[in-house]
Amino acid sequence: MTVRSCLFALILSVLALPQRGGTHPHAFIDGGLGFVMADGQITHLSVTWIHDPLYTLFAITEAGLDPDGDGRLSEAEVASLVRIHQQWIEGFAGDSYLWADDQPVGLSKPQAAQGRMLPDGRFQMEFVRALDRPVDPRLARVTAKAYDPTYYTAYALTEAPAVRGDPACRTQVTAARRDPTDAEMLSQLALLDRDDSPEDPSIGVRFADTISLQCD
Amino acid sequence: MRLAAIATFLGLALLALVLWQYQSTALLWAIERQRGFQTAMAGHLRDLQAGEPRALWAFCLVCAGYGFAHALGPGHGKLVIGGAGLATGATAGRLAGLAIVASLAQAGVAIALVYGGFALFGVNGKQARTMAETWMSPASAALIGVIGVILIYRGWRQWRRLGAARHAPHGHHHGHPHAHSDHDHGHCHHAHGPDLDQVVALRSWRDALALIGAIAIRPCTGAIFVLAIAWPLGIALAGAAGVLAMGLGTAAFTALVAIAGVTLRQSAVLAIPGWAGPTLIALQILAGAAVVWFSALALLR
Repeated sequence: MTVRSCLFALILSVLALPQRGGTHPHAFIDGGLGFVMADGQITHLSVTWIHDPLYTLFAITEAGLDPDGDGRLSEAEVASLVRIHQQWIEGFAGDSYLWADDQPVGLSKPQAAQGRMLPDGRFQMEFVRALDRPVDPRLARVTAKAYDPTYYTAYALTEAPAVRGDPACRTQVTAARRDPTDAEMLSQLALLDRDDSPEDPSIGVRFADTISLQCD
Repeated sequence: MRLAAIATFLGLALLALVLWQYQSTALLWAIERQRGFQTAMAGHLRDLQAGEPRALWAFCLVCAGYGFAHALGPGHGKLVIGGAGLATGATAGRLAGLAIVASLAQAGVAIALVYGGFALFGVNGKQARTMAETWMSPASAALIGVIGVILIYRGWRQWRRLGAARHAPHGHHHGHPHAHSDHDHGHCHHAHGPDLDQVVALRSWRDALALIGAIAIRPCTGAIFVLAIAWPLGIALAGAAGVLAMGLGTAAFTALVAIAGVTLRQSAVLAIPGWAGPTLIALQILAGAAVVWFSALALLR
């Protein structure tokens, strides 16, 4: 092995590195979060997921649906697509989070899930997640976020967060800070695939807008 | 000539600094582009499936754009690329060729993995993706890490030889780029200290193949997505063409970075005569350490 060959090797290994980096995100989900209230307490978090067209196509073909490929799914096919996305694998926290006074509140798996195909080829799904204890937004500061800690999926809040069941409450969205020279963010980007627990600041949460709930 | 070289060197160094500083802006831009490309890819896949052959060109173009935006991502390799551009004497053309071969090999592995899996073993898209992410990415990172260790070892050895040669009565003149013709030193190079010819003339297809293998073993998730969609839609050939175009898009960005690195090195060698040899060896050790560091991060995450 000569010097020249090892330098040759160096170039090739360098060529390999940039391809490793920007591999995320691979799925884009639009939609939003909302609050379902009863008797002045938050009982459920409502979630809307609108998958991007390529991911939708991937999910459809993977499930063997739409064999004629015209993008039109029967009701039964939509239902099975909903079923697939309702079955969360072990360890998947659901990519939606709720805090009461900065304390995480446990959320159930999807309930009352519904789905439809949008005309532009995107699969939309709506469901609610029950809180493991009711939270009174007049006693605690309530915030919610939609993000994937690993940033495999990029979530975007495209729908105004709604409140059901209490007309005295309203929501406010605080956009995530995206400072291009943020050194901390840069170091997070360098470790893009690290799978932090949701409570820890992770790359996904840095892209997530914050929804807060205020009630009179 | 020398002034121009110094100006070029400083200009490129400044550009690199600015790009480094605004890396996350570039990333955010790339993520937005990637999203747009993904949406367009889905539309073209539908058109291809509906039997519109003209959609193939549009599809390949979008795939190439996706590959380019993809390579723009976060900067694992950016510092190393700067060092490698400085440390190597390969021509920009050869680097671009390597980028293309490596990317196409990577695309080829993705095609073989997904279509082979579908055709022979009946795996589905999710299984192919899991296989790539669970096994092949760490395998690739480990291979690259081994290469980094070898680089450090070789650099250290060359450093010692350089020191010995400087004190030897018949040592070569180091640091003069034109002191030797570009002939092959072959087997006798162990008897000499390293001269610049040896440092700058890069030819070993054995190493090249090993490294192309290390790159190619790790298929990109975007490519797997496209292939896993194309096969069940009955447009397997179009999917393969798109993935190859994706590889070319990635190679185009890598080639751009490589050309910038080569230009930076050439201007540095012209600007600082007499120190090219030791500088190149030191950069080689640094680059090796960086390669080990980043592959370790990739493995431990």
